[in-house]
Amino acid sequence: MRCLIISLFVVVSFTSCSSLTIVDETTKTIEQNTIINPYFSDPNYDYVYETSIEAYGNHFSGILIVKKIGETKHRAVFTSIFGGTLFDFEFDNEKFIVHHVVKQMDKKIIINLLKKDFRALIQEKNITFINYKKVNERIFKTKQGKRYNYYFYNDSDKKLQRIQQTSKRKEKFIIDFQNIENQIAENISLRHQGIKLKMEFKLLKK
Amino acid sequence: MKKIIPFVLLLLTAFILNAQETKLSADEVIIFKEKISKAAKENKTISNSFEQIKHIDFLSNDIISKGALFFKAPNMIKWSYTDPYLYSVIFKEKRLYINDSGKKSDINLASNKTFKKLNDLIVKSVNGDMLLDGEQFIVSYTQTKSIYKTNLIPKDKKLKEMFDTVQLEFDKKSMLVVNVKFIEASGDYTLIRFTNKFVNKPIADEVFNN
Repeated sequence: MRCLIISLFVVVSFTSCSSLTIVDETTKTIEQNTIINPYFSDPNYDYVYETSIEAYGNHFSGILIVKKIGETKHRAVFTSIFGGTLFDFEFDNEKFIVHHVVKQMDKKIIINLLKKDFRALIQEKNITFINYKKVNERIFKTKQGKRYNYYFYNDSDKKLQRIQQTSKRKEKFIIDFQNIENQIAENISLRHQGIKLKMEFKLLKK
Repeated sequence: MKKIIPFVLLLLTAFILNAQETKLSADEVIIFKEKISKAAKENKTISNSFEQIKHIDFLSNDIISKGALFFKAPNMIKWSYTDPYLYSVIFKEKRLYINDSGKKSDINLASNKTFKKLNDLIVKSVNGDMLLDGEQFIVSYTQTKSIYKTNLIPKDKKLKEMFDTVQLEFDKKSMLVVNVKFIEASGDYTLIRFTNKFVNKPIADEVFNN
């Protein structure tokens, strides 16, 4: 774990600061809208995903559990395959509560990273300020703290396919939603672009 | 990986159920411990099916997984999930072998002091000695007509962080564990129910190959 933290620091510190183009800026319109990420929006559904994490050559498996517990509130719990809770977070727009985290993961850098990752993954209602139009695609830009999220919707079926998070200058991570049925994504991947961290989520069907 | 080992370890204590409960007297505790020791010596192999129930208060339904457990004296253990995912761990010759949906890896438990201590603890748990020495846990004992129930509160800081209490329930006839419940500080718990227990039925060594 210590090696991981040092590696994270090194990578974060030395990643180059190139300018960033996610979408063709000539297609943009300035417009405020509320867009929906529907994949964790049913308060009556327990979202349970088998999770596989690859971090710096290490592999780890667990279970991700997400539940909508209020109009804007979600709980996200991650357990080991054996059932023990590794972290238990609550998200409510900008509010964030750590209900539990095991000591090995109780480091600011790790919690901040997970907070940003899971907020982007879960947050249902998002206010956009720039919209883009591409062939077969609509893209919406939102702000998350000091970072930006780009929401990619497919034009044909209007489904949310991808969320990409960036800082002003750097790409941070990409979330892809696949095999979508009844507003539930059976497969989700979250790939970091600056650090060697990848998470894959597979829906555990009831 | 270090994180999962205490969980594996405590799950494995299951080797060695709620009506009206009464506290065991000092004499009854001695008899209980003797029965555990005797069963541990006699049980050369154990095959078990299990159901793991993860209860989180805010969820509508518990999360259920199923699998099998194999033990072969003196120290081969396999804990494997078969539904809804494939995942297994094998303790053999001071190594921990992991098969994560076909991704195989192993850890040398002897190369690291903490792992060595954990490995010793696993062997102790299998023998039932863990309950006897009171070194790792504060133990209290209750019983019903058909069940002995032990309440274990970890003394070890690392274990304590992960759960408040572990409850082991032993069937009085077989002296095998029927239920293990790991209760976390939040009140959420993981309950493991054992069924189809076979004792001293031959198990091929191949079962313990990763």
